[in-house]
Formats: sequence, C-alpha cells, structure tokens
Amino acid sequence: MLPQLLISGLALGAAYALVALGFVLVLNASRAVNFAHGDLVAAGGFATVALATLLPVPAILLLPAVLIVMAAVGLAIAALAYFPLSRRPPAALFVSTIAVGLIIRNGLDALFGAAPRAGPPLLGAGLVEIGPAVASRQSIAIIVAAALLIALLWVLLARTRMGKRLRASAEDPEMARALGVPVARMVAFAFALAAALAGAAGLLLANQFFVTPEDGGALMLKAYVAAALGGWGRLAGAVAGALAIAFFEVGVASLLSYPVAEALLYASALAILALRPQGLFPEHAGQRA
Amino acid sequence: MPASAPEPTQDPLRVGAPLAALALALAFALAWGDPYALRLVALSGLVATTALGYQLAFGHAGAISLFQGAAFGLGAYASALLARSVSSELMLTIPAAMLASGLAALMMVPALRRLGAHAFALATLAGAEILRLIAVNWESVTGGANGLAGIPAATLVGVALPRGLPVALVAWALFALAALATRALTRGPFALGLALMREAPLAAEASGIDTAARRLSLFVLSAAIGGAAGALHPFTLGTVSPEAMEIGVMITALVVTVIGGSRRPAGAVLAALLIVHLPEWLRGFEELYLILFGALLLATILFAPEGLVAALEEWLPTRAKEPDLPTPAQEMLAAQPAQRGPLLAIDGIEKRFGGVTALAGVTLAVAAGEILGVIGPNGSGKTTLLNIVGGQTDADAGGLRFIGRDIASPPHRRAAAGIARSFQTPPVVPGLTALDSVAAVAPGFGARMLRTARARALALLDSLGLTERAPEPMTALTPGEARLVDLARALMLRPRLLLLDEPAAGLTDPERTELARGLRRLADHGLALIVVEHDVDFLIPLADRLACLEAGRLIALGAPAAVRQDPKVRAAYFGAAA
Amino acid sequence: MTAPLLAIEGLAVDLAGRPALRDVVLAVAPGEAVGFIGPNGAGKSTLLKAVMGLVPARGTIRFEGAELGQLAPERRAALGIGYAPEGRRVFRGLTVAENLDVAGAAGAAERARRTEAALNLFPALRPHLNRRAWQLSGGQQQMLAIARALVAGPKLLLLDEPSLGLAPIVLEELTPALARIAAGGTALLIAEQNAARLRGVAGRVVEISRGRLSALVPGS
Repeated sequence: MLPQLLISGLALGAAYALVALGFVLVLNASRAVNFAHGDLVAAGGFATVALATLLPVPAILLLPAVLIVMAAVGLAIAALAYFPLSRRPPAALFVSTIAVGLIIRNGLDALFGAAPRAGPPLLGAGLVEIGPAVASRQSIAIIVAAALLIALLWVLLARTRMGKRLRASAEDPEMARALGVPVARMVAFAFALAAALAGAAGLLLANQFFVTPEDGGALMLKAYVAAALGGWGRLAGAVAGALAIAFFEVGVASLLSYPVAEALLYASALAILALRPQGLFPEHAGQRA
Repeated sequence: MPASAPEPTQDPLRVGAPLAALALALAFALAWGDPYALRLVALSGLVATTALGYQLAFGHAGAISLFQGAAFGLGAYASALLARSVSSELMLTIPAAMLASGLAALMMVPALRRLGAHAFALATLAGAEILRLIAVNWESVTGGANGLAGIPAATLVGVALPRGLPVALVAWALFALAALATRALTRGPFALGLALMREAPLAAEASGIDTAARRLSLFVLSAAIGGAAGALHPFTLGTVSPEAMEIGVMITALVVTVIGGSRRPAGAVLAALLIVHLPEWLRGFEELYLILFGALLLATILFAPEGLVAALEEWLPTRAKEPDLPTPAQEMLAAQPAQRGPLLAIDGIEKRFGGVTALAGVTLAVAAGEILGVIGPNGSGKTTLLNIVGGQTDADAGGLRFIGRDIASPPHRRAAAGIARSFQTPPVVPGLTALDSVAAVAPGFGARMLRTARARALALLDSLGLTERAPEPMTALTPGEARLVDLARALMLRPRLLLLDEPAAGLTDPERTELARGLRRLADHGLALIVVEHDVDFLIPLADRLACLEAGRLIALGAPAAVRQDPKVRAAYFGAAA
Repeated sequence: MTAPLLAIEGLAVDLAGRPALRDVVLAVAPGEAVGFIGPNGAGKSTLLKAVMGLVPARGTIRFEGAELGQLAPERRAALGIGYAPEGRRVFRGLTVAENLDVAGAAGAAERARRTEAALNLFPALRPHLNRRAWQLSGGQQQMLAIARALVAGPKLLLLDEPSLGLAPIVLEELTPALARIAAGGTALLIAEQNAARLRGVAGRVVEISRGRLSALVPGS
C-alpha cells in the first residue's frame, strides 16, 4: 500500500510542482500574482482533450502543441491584464487577473460543459511492476515527464543566457535595463513560460484526475501554499512545497477522505503562515527571499 | 484601489445617491406583484449589503480579501440551521450569523497578520475553501451538496415575513442599516487615516496608525456584514445550499464593488441591481453572462478604475465648493514637562545589512529642547540611525532608552510613545487637502471628531505659516510647503522627540530660513530634534550640537563650529573642498 | 575639434516634486575621462541616472550627436552607454560569471572577448567566477559592477561613486584599473564625493552643488 501511495503522491506532486514553478516564475519576474494561473491548468487540460478528439494519439505527442498554445495564452494575459496595469497598486492586478480567470473558466464551461472530461494517457494505459509495487503506467509517465520538464526549465534558467537575463530582471529590473536587458520582454517571457508549465500540468493531470472548468481555484490555492511553504519566491522551495502538499493529500485521503485532506491542507497552511510566515525551509543568509 | 478623487475645490455633483434611490424605487415598482421579480430585488439588496461590507475591507482598508463569499455563505448556513432548529426570528438569526462569520474571520487573523497584499488574498481564499469544503461534505449538519430545505419563513420581532415583498423590504432595510452603521467609520479622522494607510503606509505607521490592526479589524467587520446579508438568503429561497458559499458569491461581491466604486455605497446599490438583473435580461445566454462579467470587470479596472458612478460624475459639470475651515484650536504644543536625564539615550547601536555594516556601535544622547544635527557622507549610516530610533528598523545590537525606558519597536508604538518622524519624500495622498493630510493622524470617527482634528491641524499649519494653503489639495503644494505639512503631521502626535530626514533638501533660501525658524521654536517649546542633513550650512546656525558619522561610526560630536573644523570630519566629508 | 560623445544642455530633473538638477551643461569628448564632485544631495546620482534614462528629465542629452529624448534605458545601453551605479547593485543571486554574461547585445564570441578583457582588468575576480555575487566583498562587488558594464562594450561608462565604502587598499587597485579603461578609449563620467578620489583618472573635474554645475575645479 505504501509504495502505491508514494508513487501516486509523487505523480500528483510532480504535476503540482509544474504549477507552483510557473506561479513563482511570474511572481519573481513581475512581483504580481496571476490569479488566473490555476485556470490555465484547466485550460491546458481542455486543450489536450480538444486536440485528442482531432488527433487520437498519446498525450505525449500532444504536449508540444499544448505548450505552444498555452504560451500564447500566457502572452495574451500579460498583454491584457498585466502590462496596462503594471504601475497601478496591487489591487488593480488582482482584479484584472481575477477577471481573466473568470473569462477563461467560463469560456471553458461554454465550450466544453461542466462535466469532467478525461484526457488521453501520456503513453498508454496499463500497469507496471516496480519491485513490490504495482503502479499505473500513467503515474510513472507523469513523474518522468514532469521531471524532464523541470530539468529543461532548470537548464533554461541556469544555463541559457535568456534564463540568466530573466533571473537578473527579476532581481533588479532597473539595473537589468541599464545593462541593456529588455526587461518587459523578460516579463512577457515569464508569463508565457508559466502558462506553458501550467498547461503541461493540465495535460498530465487530465487522464487520471479528469478536468473540469472549476479546477482552477483549488490548483491556484495549492500553488500558493507550495510557494508559501517553500519560501515565497524560491523555485526549489516551490517544488519541495508541491511534493509535500501532494504527499499530504494522498496520505490523508487514503486514511480519511479527499475533502478532509484538502481542508486539513489549507488549515495547516494557515497555521504555518501564523507561526512561520517565511516558509518551512531554512533561509540562506544574504539571499533575496 | 487607486485613490485619486476630484479636486476638492471643485465639487462634482454627487449623483450617486439620488440615482441609487431612483433605481431602487424603480426596481420595486417594476417588480410589484411578481414574486420572482421581488426575489431578485431582495437578492439585489443582499448583494448590495455584502458589497458594502466588502468595501470596508477592500476599498477603505486596502485589504485584498477573497473571503466575502464564504462569510455570506457561513451566515446563510448559521441562519438556516437556527431557523430549522430554534427559531427563524431575524433578531436572533442575523446577529448569530454575524457572530459566526465574524468569528471565522477573526480566526484567520493570526495567519494574515504579516502577509503582503497578494499573499493575503490567497490566504483568505484558503479560509474560504475550508468553509466551502465543510459545507459540502459535513452532510449530517449541512445537508451536504444538496443543502437543507424546508427553511421556515422568517419573523421580525414576531411578525411573520412571507417571501416576496416583505423579505425584499427587509433586505433593503438591512442595507440601509448597514450603511448608516458604517457611516461614522467612513467619515472622520479614522477614514482619512485609512487613505494615508493606502497611499503611504510607512508614513501612516510613523504617525501612530497601527495599519495591521485597522486592516484586520475592518476585514473582520466586513465578514460580519457579509454574514448578516447571508442570514437573509435562506428566507428568500426557503433553502440553503453550498452555492451560497461558492466563489460565485465572492466574484459577484467583487464585481459589484469594482463597478460601483470601491468606496461608494450608492455605487453598490446601482451595481448590485445591475449585476443581479443582468442574467435575467440575458436569459438564454447563460454561460455568456459570466464571461460578460469577467469582461466587464476587466474593462472597468482598465478604463474606469474608480467605478462607473465616479466616471459618470466626472463627466457631469462641477460646481465651485466653499472651502470650510474650522476655527483653529487654541491649544498648541503643550509645554513639555521637565525631564531629568537625556530624553533619548542610544548605546552601542549596531546594524548590518548582509555583509555591509551600516552602524558599527553608535552611542549618543539627546536632551529635551536640544537640536542635534547629524551629518556624514553617503553610506555613513545617518538614515539607518533615524530608522532605528523611529522603529522602522531593528538594531542588531545595542540599547535604546527613551525617557529612561525601553520602548516597543513597531513604528506606531514609537509614535504613541512620543517619537515622531518626517520622511525625505513627504507623503502626498491624492484627493486629500493639506488640512486633511494632517488631520488624518488623529484618532476618532464621525464628523464631530473630524472637526476637532481639523481644528488642531489648522492650528499647527498656522504656526508654520501655511494657513492659506490648508484647504488646497496636497498635489497643488510646492515641495517646501509639502515638507512643512509633513512636519505638521508629525507634530499632531504631540511628540517629545522629532526625527527629521533632510528637511531642507530642495527648499528655496527663504523656505530654509522659515523652516529653521520653525524648528528653533519647536526646540524652545521643549521638543528634542534630530536633524539629518547634507547641507551643513543649514545646520551650523540651527543645531546645538553636531554629530558626524562615517562608515557607521561617530567620528565627531560637539558644538557645530568645532565639528566643522575637525580634521577627521573635513577628511571624511569635505575631502579636497575648502 | 571632434564632436562631443555626450552633450548635455539645459538638463533639469525633478525628483519627488523637488528640483534635483537645474541648467546642467556638460560635454564629454570621445575617450575623455570627466569627473564631477559634490556633497550628497547635490545631484550627482541624478545626473548619471538622467543620462542613463532612469529618471525623467527635461532638456537635451545628445549621444553621438543623436538626441536621446525619452529613449528607454535598455536602448541607451545598446547605443553604448554603460552604468555602474551607486551601491554596486550586482545581481546577488547570480554567480560572477552569470553577472558578466547578462549585459550587452553582442554575439557570444565578442562577449567572450570582452569578458576576458574585463577579467584582465580585474584579475581579483577570476578565482570567484562560480561564486554567487552576494558572497563577494564590497570591493569585489564594485569590480564586478564595472566589469559587468564593460562587457557590453560601452563607449561611455557612467560611474556613481565607485570608491564608496571601499578600503584604501582596494582603491589602490581600482584607480589604475579605471585609468586603463580610460586609456583604452572608453569615455568615463565619474561622480565622486571629493576630487582626491579622482586623481589619476579624470582629466577634468567639475563641481556640482545644489543641482547646478559650477566651474572647473582648478588644479585638477
């Protein structure tokens, strides 16, 4: 039973990690929370469902298209809801991104209906034996795919010039501009990247967990909790936080029930915010939070 | 929300309230006799009340909350459960609902206290989700996903309230009651303080305003009002279900608040009537109307962020407004009681930021009635020193005693203890006059306290030579005048010690003379002053003593002329200049 | 008489409503090193920020003959203006090597060449290439800030109090490095608190006080 739970938790955590990473990327680059971020996951899931009806292939083949489509959506959000309001107080961005989320959520509802839909599996259905455990192929595929995407993200941020410029822009936008870095473009890039990651998470989740237009709210909340646990703004922390959330969810759900797991998750998050607002993981001296 | 408002010298025709009354009367008239239409009118009243509560947190306190829908739903469930098991008397269910929602909000306060804007929003969302999950899953109590049916009709002081017109009237009576009850909160010095808090939180803190306390208490109050509105909801339907808790209610409250105007009760009325009736007019395009809400919300925040009512009022002709100045209060700064020993004593203060040492053990004392000037090159630690005394930063080591006692460090507590501070960039709240900018730091609610606060503020502005400028909007003042207004703001707190950060920067020569004269008068009254300045020539005739910092250390302390000639000071500060 | 690289005329800047700079007139020839001194609050940083486009300014700033107008900072950097600000402002979370990689628009080969040249100027940075910038000392951070700006290959380098907070022994390394940069053909515009810090680097020193430039400091 335990190995089963571990694998389910890992798979869920891997998908959550993608969502949380995108959330933190935008947070760092723009100092803003995109309240439509969760809805982008649902959008990615439905995009997968839609593409699969046209092209009945394993989801892994649909992934590049979903990434591109969602990246475009991310750019659109930046153009509509972020850039026009970047000089206004945070409340304005809150309203604009909530509005965008509303449009996405209800657009999905209008196009696809409220009933849960299943996306195609990544590779194929079926079970796989790993030592004493028997896991679904989908779970393993999710873990591997997410790990690959996270690795690619790491390469992008740490090894490519664009990634370094993005990190510099996030840290000190004015100084970056004085060095010739087109900071506005970096922010747009962050939005696109975050949306692509969210869409990928949607694709990964759509088969085992189904997708409904209302999924966005809970996913947004979990991304936030992951980011807060990991130390607001730290990418590695967000991944750790996402895994922690997933294991908690899967563990408590197996003992009690899924709704109880969620409620306890949020209650624990609030408790942690009350007692240790800087997150669970130790801070590095001298590093920007 | 963006705080700009029309210039107070020109008063826009306030069409909001009459329009709202008209629209409401129309709504009732059109719905006459039609139970379904009356239910919509009742619902509009509940939405308006919920939005009114939300305005307190979101519009006035600037707290980005996503809890209001949950507050409404919790109130609905509390009321429904009471009605089914005890009594459907509104005088019982409404207060009970308010208590339930208020308590739920209160329980979230420890988690919310130290969160920044967007994190706050998401934390309130977490709280809302917990409540929704309980409502959906605690079937034995809440009826689960289907909710509870068979809610008896409400009674008001024993009189039965059938659905239809009576409930609709009560719903709007509730709104009127809530609007009246919160009136004093949104007028008076407290409300001005909220405006200062939204625009210049540091200055507000330094003026003794406990921004966290204000924000959180308004958050709890807003939830309670949402609960009150929710309490009536089961009586409009006869049932309660998790729909009353869902994000849709929150979104509705947000849309109504943004479209109506985040601080406009009349706007809440108009927007609520619009938003509740819109789906009816769009019958047949169900999914589209929610998308339309989203588009409307986006368009409003992009193009009319103050709300549609405010936008409408901008369009209409204005009329000149009479500036009404109160009589200045007679009392000014009370003479300070004699103080034995130094007023402020700091000992071995150290502060490091990462690898950089800002202060490396500074010791000095300031006596009542003394003006201490602080000079030093860039990076010498002058502003850090001021921040530590003012409470904006905590020292890493060393002691600080004020009037012989240790004092708590949050800036608003230091201000209450008697340490006031001015800032390099004086806070300018758009839409506030100079007079109101100063009155904003006084405590109190309602029009009468406002008059008292304004009288005191005017007296202070008088003493600084700003009588004529008092009714002008802050945005119309010169930088020198804004500095003096900031000084008046600091003096409103009747401080014993005043911290000034480069007060003479950017001032013309006559303004500098006037400022020096004003500061000298304050010291003669017994105030102690610490003045950080680059312009040494300004300090030489003014200061009783001069302190020079370099690289976080005190390298000279004494009579101004002597310090200026000190070779260490010349080397550090003047370098090659004569 | 060559045309000036940088020509400032009638520059006025307001900061937070108060006048920070008024009627500034200044010219820097190609390859010239000009210093300006003045006490805090005089407007030194503001002047450099105005040239870099980081604060809104009135008046004329011409670079290589072309009026800069409201051009964004990143475009000015592309034109050849480099900036080493007050307080260094290195990217603390990035390594030294990453800090150096961020600047400039040129191709990889050109940037590699310039990075190598910058490291030759500041050999103290070499052992720390893979260290995160927050771990460097103040002097090393200052060198990094200058090296970083150089990688973009500027024709004019703006330096805001490069000696601030540095121990004299570090200054002994910094001053010749700056002189070498100037000798290499890059124009310098350096703000400092006193003229002593500019000795050996600036050919001409101007004084700035209360937002206005005054006459040349004699004997510099």
